[in-house]
Amino acid sequence: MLGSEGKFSTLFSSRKWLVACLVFAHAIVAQAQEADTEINRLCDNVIVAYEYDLNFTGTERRLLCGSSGIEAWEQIPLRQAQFLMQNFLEARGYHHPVFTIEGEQLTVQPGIPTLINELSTQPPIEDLRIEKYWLPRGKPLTPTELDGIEKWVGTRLSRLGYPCPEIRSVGDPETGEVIVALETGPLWTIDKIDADPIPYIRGGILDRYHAFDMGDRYNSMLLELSSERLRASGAVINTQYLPLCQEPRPGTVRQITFAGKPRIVSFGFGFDTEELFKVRGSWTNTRFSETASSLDVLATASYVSQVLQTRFNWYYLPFPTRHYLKSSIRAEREVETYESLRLKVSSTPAWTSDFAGLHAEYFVGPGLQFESTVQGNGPKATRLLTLDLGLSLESNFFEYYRANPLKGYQLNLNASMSEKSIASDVSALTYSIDFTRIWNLLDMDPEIWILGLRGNFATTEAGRDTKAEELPLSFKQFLGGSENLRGFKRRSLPEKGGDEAEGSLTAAYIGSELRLNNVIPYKLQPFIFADFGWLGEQYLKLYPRLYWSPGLGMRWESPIGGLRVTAGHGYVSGKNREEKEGLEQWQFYFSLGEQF
Amino acid sequence: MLSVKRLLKTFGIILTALLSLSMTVCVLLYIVLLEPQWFINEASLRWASTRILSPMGIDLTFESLNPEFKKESFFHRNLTVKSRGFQLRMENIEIEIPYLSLQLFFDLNPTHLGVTRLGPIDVLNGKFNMRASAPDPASEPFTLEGKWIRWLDALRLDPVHISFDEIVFTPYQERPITSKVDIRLSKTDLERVWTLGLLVDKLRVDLDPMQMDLPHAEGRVDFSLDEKGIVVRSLGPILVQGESLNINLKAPETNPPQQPQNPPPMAEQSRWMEQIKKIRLQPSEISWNSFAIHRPGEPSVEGRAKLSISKPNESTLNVAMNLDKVKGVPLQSVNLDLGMKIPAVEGYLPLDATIKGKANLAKLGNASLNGKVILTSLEDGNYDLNASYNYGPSVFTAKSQGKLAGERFEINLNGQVTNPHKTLEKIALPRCQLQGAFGEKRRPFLESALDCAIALTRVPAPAEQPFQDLLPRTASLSIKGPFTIQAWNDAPQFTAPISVILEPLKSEVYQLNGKTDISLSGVLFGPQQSFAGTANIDTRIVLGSFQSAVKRFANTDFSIPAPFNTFDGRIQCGAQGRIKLEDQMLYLPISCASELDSSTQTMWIKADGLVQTRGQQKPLIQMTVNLEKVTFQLPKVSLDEPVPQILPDKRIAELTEAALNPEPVPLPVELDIKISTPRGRPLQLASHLVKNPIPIGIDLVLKGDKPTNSGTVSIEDYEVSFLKKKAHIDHLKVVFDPAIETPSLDGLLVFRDPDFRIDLKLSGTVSQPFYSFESQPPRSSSELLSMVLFGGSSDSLDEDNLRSVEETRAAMVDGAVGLLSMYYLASTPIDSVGYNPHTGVFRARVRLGKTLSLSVGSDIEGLNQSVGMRKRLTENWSFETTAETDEESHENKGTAMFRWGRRY
Repeated sequence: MLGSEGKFSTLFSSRKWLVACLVFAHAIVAQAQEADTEINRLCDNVIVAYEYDLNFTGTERRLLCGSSGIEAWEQIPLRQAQFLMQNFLEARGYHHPVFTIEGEQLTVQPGIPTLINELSTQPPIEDLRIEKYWLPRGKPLTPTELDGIEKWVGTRLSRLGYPCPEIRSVGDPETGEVIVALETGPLWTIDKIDADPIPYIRGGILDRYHAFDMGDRYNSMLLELSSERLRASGAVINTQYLPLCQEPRPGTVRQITFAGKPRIVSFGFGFDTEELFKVRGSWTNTRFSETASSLDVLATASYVSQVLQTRFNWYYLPFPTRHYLKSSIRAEREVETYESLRLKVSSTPAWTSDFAGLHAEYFVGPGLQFESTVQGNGPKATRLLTLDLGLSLESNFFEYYRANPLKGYQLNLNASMSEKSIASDVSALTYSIDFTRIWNLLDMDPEIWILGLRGNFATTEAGRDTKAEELPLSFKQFLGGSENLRGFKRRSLPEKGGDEAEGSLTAAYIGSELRLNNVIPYKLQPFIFADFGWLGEQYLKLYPRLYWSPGLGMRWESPIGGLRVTAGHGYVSGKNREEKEGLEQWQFYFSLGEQF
Repeated sequence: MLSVKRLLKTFGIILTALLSLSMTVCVLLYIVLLEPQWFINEASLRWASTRILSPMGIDLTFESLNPEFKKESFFHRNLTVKSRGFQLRMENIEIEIPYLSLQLFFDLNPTHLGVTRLGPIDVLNGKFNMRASAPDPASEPFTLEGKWIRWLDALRLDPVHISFDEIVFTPYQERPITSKVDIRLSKTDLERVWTLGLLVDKLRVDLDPMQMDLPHAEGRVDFSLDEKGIVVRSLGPILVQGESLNINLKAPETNPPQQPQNPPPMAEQSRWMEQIKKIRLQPSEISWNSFAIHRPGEPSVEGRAKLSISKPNESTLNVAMNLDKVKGVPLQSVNLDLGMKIPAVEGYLPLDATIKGKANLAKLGNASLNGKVILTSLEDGNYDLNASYNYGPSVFTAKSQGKLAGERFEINLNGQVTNPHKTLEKIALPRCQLQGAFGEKRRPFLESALDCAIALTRVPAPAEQPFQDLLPRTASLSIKGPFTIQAWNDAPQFTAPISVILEPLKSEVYQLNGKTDISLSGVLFGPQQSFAGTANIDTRIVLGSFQSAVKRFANTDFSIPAPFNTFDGRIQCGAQGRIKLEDQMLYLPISCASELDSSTQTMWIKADGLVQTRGQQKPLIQMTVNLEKVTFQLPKVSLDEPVPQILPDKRIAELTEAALNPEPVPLPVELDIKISTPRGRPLQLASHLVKNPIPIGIDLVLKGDKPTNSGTVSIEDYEVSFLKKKAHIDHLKVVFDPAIETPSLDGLLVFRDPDFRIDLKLSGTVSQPFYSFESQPPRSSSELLSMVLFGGSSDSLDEDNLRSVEETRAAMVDGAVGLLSMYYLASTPIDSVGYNPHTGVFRARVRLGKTLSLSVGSDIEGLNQSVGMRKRLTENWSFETTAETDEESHENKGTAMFRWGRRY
């Protein structure tokens, strides 16, 4: 996170920006003028009379103008150059070029490119919803674009249960209409997975990562999701599911897996949204047993937080199952507006399952936690024996598009309970619920308008014989930051100081974001957002003061991941608003990897 | 006494009877001869009408009927009958004559009893109505017997004038024919020539096959009688002015074939010819304002017709025919004048005829013919004909003269056709002579010599304008040879060894020579009719210097493309062999050879084959093409750039069913072409990317009218740097099989280390190649791929490289790594490989320099939807951006890290 109020606005208002812009514009114009004279004459014999650079490659130029040093290709007759130029222009969508040969010189006027304006399939397949596929429309009709259309149709058909279609597209150079003639082939169900064995792992153990069941209709997205889950688990380096179209009976999918070595050691440094610079080191054994249990040791350190953690996901049952024992030991030092030390040991049974297009994960079990507030209003030392409960639901679409959220939803529910009479210094009950819902507005493909809605509600009840100020800070709620109220500084609410306690017992947040996708060049995605939050000093009660922050931002799908910049202004309204006027200001965030 | 008395009595009785009879006869004779009006008068006729004729079904009435008998001499009487209101009604006939005047002279002399003179007769303003009864099959046609001819010839005839204001004749089961008719008949006493004048007005005919509306027709014929019948002396003038004439033709009935009727015997023809010659023909004219001939199943023929016939003198006959406004046939108008001099002597020889005509064939153009034929005898004559025809831009003109003298004959023909085809400007026949002799008794029956010259002038196409010098507009052929018929019998055999010679066509680029000797023989007609022929062809086209062709075609639409434009040398093609024309079979051997070289390339190709027709099947072209010595240089391509689109993409086309479901268009010929490289001399492809030229062996057969390939294209025993290693291509074959749409692959690459051997086997198809690794000692395919892809064991690779290896393996198994992608992979350092089996997208990033990288393949939405993004920096270092959720705080965080990692 790079956030500091007011600095960017000062910079933007500087006249230096104006001068910089003028210099940049001048450079662009000068380059364009220079390009005009250079790009139009490919060589002495070939001239392209066109105002735009058609970016002929070196190979194309050599084929048009001749290759020095290659005797057989040194002299290209103008008619041959014309023929080749026609094909090169066709590859760029220009289907009506005008050629003129005068003396030893070929001049081509590329004309106007034919744009794709109509797209249909033959026979029509309603479920394909090709009318929603807008991306190629308005683009030049090129073989590459036809390839893309054919691949899109193939991909969509493979999600509808037809992994082995025959597809041929034809584009009319006069009208720009494209018809995709297709034969879908048989409708598949997944009947058999023909998988490579993995050394030292029982057969079928890794089926727990499947997003499908045997007998389900073939859907390539679920197969990809399954591959991605397995890769993400680290159990294997890579795995791929291939429909065997050559088999006489449809339904057999081959799974090619490269397991690699089971142990991974890694070290890294970088930064994250909240903690700025951080370093990380880890050791993992992804195939700890024949049931592919995993054991890892992870250490991360940043200015805000230092964590040492050991996790062991133990699939103790000797047969394929989605149940495991989730154990961890975690030691953490946190430096925010306060400073705390925390050690937690937990071991909970956990389950995962896939049903109705959802992936679910849930656990419930005990945890022993020690927490000490070094700096701040929290208790100096607290011991808690907690009963932790967690439930996570995630739609397949949300999971599939997680790197670039397009649609789907997820819901998390967490609860933790401790009782003073049972090895705990305080009695407390805390629970939280958060959700995210993403809509592809207008249902265009690829998406244009993405509307996101996310929310969170968390509350803590100080139990019997426990005062609120006795609760450790990990039981308190904070707002502010790029993950909720983007017009406020990270975890700046409730405001520190005064008579108010460190943290709140209840917090509610709801945020919305409208993002424009796939329209602006260079994968830039502007968006606007509005976040709303409330805090409360009591269990389940919110103080009638609204913290809200409208703003705008830009997301860039960079080659190294999603990069986001947001500018939001914090506002306070409601009861005793004037007391919080000092919080109202601009807030800027810069992040890499965050998706909402 | 008694007997005498009785005898006398008897005699008396007989005598008395005889006297009574004689007196009766005398009285009757007296009455007949002197007073016939006593019993032939109006009263007796009225009595006979009512008492005698009426019971017989004949109803005869008149207002007045006054027969007058005048005595000319003792035996000669003159009967004059005048009648008014005369009406006669019989079963099928009704005659009504308002005024009738008739004179009849007859001789009562018993030795010459009969009518001696007739006329004048006037029948005016009569009406005649007759209904024909069913034809009697037993009735015989009326013929004029000799005694009646003699009587008529002797009869004196005074003018006869018969006019019927209305004649109605109703044929059996047909609609009536109506007309107004005026007939005048006279006869000269001395020459005994009859003159018949006929005038018909308002004739209407409405019969089943013919309808006619004839307002006016008149004509005159002079004839005499002899013992054989009527002899026409003079005909005409005849004037027929018809208004409309409709004839309905019926579809021919499918009756069993009838024996052809024998033509009239020559004597009969000759007699008619003689008669025609003697007829004095007055100028006559027959015209129809409109006529229509309705043909079943075809358009009706309509038009206006006029026929004029005149015989200005006894030996000249002129016929002029004119048709115009014609519809229904490809003919608009015709004018035809035929003049014929009729020989004075008996028969139709000598014949001297001239013809001159022209026809407007509507859309088919105009035609004309004029000429003269003189045939003094069957063995002596000559003709001279000129014909022309023009159709659109085409004009055909021809002149032919011929003569016959005894057994010798000579026919000369010359002419030309202009614009007969869009590609031909003129076909000229400046000279064509056929001369020889024939005779029924001579052997051979006919022997002749043909000597023709043909000149073809073609139209230069606009695109050919620059090539006028290369494509001569005129080609000249000469055709010479004898034509012989051995005997004129039921199976006349002929032989014709003909030579066709093409005048050499020369240009700065090529020379074309051609000669054909054709030997024809067979039986002209009859049950053994046959035709056999052979043609010995010797045609050759030679391009002496390929560079002259390159220079000549440079800067034209037909410029020779690179890399062929650097060649120089010779190309020669020819058809040298024999064509057998038996049973319409063509068997034409052809051959072609090139010996072209440049400093870096060679193209020595030899092709032999034949063109053959096979009855109803398509012609077959069989060729064997040997690529004797061929080396090509490939253009310079950059691996760091996309492959350029060299050929048009067939998917960009007008939206037709054919474009959506493309089917190969059959050729008009069937191919059977074998293309091969000799063993040990493969085709060589030189490229800047490889040190040594790539040897390519070809053994292909191209077959069918939708040509399909079978055979192989192969590379064998070639050392190559592949996948960054030295490799030996044991074999790499592209196998074409007509039964399989995409050619299949069969290949083996061997990577050899001192103590290790890796075999990379290629299978599958060109569009979906499969790769598999084997090694000695054995290793897993992933291990082997790691070694050849990244140059080391998988133990030494980082996770990204291992993932690339595995995705490459998946793509290889799935057939998603195209040959070209594999070549890129093999030729350049690999950055990373990604493969999505569900979109079929294989994507490889290859490092081309320190800062440059290239994606091979393409990516679309859905390929990479992982949680994070990872970019490899070095073998173990990478840059990652991920979205994480903190397990404890449940906070979502975006993290970007440089990461070093390794599996072990």
